[in-house]
Amino acid sequence: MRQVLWPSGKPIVVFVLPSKNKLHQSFAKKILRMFPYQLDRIWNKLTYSGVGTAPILVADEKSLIDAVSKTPGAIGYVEQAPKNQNIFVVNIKG
Amino acid sequence: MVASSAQAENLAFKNWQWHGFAAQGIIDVNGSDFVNNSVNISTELTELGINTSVQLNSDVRLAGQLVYLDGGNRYHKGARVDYLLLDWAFLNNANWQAHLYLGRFKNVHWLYSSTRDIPFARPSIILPQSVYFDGFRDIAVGGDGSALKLSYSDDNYGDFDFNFSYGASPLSKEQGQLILSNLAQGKIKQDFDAQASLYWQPAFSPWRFGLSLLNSDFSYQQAVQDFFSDATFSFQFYTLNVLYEGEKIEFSSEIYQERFVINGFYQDDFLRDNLGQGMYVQSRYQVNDDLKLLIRYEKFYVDKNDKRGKKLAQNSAGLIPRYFAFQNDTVIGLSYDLANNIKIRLEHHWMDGGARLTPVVLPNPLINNRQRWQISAVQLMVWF
Repeated sequence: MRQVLWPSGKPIVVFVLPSKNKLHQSFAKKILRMFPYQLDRIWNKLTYSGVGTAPILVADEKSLIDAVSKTPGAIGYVEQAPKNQNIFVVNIKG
Repeated sequence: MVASSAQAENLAFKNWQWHGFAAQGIIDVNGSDFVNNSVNISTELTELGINTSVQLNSDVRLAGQLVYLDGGNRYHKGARVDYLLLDWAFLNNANWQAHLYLGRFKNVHWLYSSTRDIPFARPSIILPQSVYFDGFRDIAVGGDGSALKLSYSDDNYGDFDFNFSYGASPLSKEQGQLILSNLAQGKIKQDFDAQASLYWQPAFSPWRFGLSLLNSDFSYQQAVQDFFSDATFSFQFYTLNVLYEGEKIEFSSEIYQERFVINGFYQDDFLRDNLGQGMYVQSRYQVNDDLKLLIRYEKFYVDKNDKRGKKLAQNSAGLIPRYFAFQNDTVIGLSYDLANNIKIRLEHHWMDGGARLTPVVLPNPLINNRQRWQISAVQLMVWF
């Protein structure tokens, strides 16, 4: 959660779905073991008090795949693995 | 989980971010000049902000935020630089992260201090005035200087955050008069402000615990034509806090003690050394995805040896009523999410006492002539 750099030293760019998106809610609770509103609070604090940068919000899974595929060092989560040569997929069972 | 490969284009690298917010409300104060001297409903509940963050390289970032506030008598009306800082992330590994912030930084030491001006990110329209006193807003919200954040986290002991800051805030004549007295014609200056805090959240726990320490000095230089004398003010503030975040229910509380020493001001040899104390307990309940309810009780007194204000009234020959020695607040409220980034909030406060009505050093009992008073407010907020 607190890592901002890959082992190579490249910045991790995180893309997330809206807090009321069902996949986001499930990912937050099952994988991150946090409630979506807790993530919102942490990210709002980072964004509006200057102490850091929050993940970048995208509207839906299609936009997330598109953003990750075009951004070096990017990471995100989707329901179905995309067929895109610019993307690595790690399957998580939760 | 998906991650980009080395073939990803470089065009969309998001190293420059913009965010902002706007909120407008109406507020009705019945029985005090908390917002203004009128008995009518007021629109002096405006908050606007815009910020940017630019990642200069993997370790250094530049960030700034400009805000415009209109809260009537609560604080100085107008625009101000909320923060403008250089953030150097000088340590980053699996367990440790450290940042050094240089410039104008925000106070991150109390539970809601860093988001007190962010309408959708704080728990209520009006925060607990004993800790988040609007009259002290421009002093307490941050400072010009440097700040350090050191974090440690692992799966056994949880997350630790240590913060330290040292700086000072510039104060205008109007801000000085808000705190001291409308009659004060001299210059008030914050000499320094040193703060430290430590937070601990056990691994995967809904509980978070924190403590904070503050030490600050101010000086007042009388004007040629002035009712008041040169003075020094010393302020120390210690808090303990706890936060519980469950799926439906949240709980938070801050308990604190403050020491406020006035040397001079009323006359050259005047000395007052007060220990004030207070606390609030707050709970929020998530009814559904959009609706959240709030309840809070707050208690504060200026002098722990004069909780009901008997000495205050005696020492002022009855000019300052007893109820300026304390201020208690009972709050109910709700917030409703109209969309992902639009929220409306409503609340009602039952106030008992006037210890946090400005000016605090020399209160105004002619306008604030009631012990019990109320606030009703509604505010609509959007952000991006």
